[in-house]
Amino acid sequence: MTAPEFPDVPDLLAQMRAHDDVDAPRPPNTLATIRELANRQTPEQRQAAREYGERVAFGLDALDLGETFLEQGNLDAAARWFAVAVRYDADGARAELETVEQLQAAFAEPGVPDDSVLGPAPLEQRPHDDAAARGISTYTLDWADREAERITTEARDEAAAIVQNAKSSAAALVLDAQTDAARIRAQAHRDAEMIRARAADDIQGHDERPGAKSGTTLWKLDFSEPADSQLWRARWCSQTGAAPADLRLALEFAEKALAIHAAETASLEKRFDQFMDATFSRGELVERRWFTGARSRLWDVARSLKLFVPSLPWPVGRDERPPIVWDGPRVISEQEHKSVVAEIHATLGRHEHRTTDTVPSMRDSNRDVTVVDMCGRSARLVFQAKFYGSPSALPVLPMSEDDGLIVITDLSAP
Amino acid sequence: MSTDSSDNTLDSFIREWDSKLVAYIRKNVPTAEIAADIAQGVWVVVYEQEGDGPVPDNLAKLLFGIARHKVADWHRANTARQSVPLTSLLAEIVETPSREAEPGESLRELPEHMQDAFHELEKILPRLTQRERDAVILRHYVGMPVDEVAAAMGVKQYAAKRFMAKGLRKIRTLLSQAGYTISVSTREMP
Repeated sequence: MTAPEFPDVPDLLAQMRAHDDVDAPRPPNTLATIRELANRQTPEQRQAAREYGERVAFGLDALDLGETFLEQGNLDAAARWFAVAVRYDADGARAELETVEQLQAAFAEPGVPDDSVLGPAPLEQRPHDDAAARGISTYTLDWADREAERITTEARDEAAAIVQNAKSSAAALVLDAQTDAARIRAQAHRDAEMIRARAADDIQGHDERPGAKSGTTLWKLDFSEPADSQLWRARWCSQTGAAPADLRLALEFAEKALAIHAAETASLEKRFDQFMDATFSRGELVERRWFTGARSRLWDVARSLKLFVPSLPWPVGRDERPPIVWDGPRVISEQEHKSVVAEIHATLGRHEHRTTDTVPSMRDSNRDVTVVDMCGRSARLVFQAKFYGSPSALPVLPMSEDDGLIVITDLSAP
Repeated sequence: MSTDSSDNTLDSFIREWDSKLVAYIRKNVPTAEIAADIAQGVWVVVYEQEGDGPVPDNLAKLLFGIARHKVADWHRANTARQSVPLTSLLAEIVETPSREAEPGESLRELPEHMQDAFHELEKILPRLTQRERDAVILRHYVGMPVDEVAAAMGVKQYAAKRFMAKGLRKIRTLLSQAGYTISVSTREMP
């Protein structure tokens, strides 16, 4: 059998009243009936009634004063007035007095400053002190000051501990990031070693071809040198007639060199604030930093590439060698595009390649895209620039653009 | 409060507060007759204090302060009866044929479990502080609005609300500890 559920307390009290005889008919009290009752009493009884009322009023006033002093923290004055209220039988005064006495006893316990150490006796007040004028004892003020100082000290210590922990965590993060950077750098070195080995093999094969120039020694490149130096060597290779395969490897090699350079020059501490905002993980940060550094470096690479590209000894239609296959996008600066196009013109004229109707021209500066069909067979070289070429001339070619840089994509697909 | 400021005489004050005073006293004494007698004694004291002139704004506080004293006086004067548990006293009152109650309204005709709840409530109320008990009784038994409760207790309205909330919370806790299931009311506070 489940216990019956009762209405909530307010409803319960209302039902109690409904079942009591509170609202039973009775003659209401009026001023006339009360006056008549009073007049029936003896003068002594009336005087006693007046004194009764005065005692109640005095007790209520004493209770109010005690509560006021208690709110102000003046326990001694509060205790005195509550004691007065108790003498006048004010309801609740005794409970309030007991509460104040418990507070006073608690403050007198060890650990709570007492007046024997801090100053005047509990009931003593300084005559011209503002606090005393406001009715606040120096005991309470001194204790409050000590408490405030203690809380401040604790908060300061806690803050110092938090900062120390943060520094330790930050050091660990930096260490992790440096480890990641070292790992990336080592991987880049390994890749570059593989490229150099392949380049050495290719050069060896090229040197064995009849009429080929010898002496292009990519494999002699020093990985410890700056990326710009590597690129200069690559460009030098092209201008000296190195084989296309050599040039492709040189480009790949240059990118790896850039990766190494970016990883080595990464200043993790300067970007430490990026750790702290926790918008990306440590691994992402390393990747992001590499990307940022590599892109800024590629800007410089592009300045070399614009000389590099037109100097290619285009093989198509001459020695029937396979078309050049570039693995990925190459980036040149937007500021250099005119020189690039001019040199392409020179290259085209030199090799008499057939071109599309949208032969790059300085006169086409109002166009967006220039498409150069280098041979009409398998390889096309596509230049994307903001103010070159015609969009209609570029119906299907996959293009990519990145933040104001010009992306050159070589497509060898038929 | 509904006191007309233009009519702040003792007569209008008595008319406004008399039934509330009687109900409050009734909750603290066993019978309506006792409550009516005590209420008259309270009004006499107030009359001797204030006379026929205009009444002060905080007279309700003095009125209920005097009432509490008069109730305490009555309990002191009736020590033998006071020693009897309130529940037994209540049962005795129910058994009394002379008690003026309309047929169908007596506690005897309440469901037994409700009588139990009322008795439990009577036992619990004295465990509240004086002010918590007064706030709960004035608000929910007497039926005063909050501003009148605050005036009768001589406190600010927020303090009166705080006493009410604490008192209700205590009663609910004690009732549930006694094994009663209380349905949650949607009108938590006035």
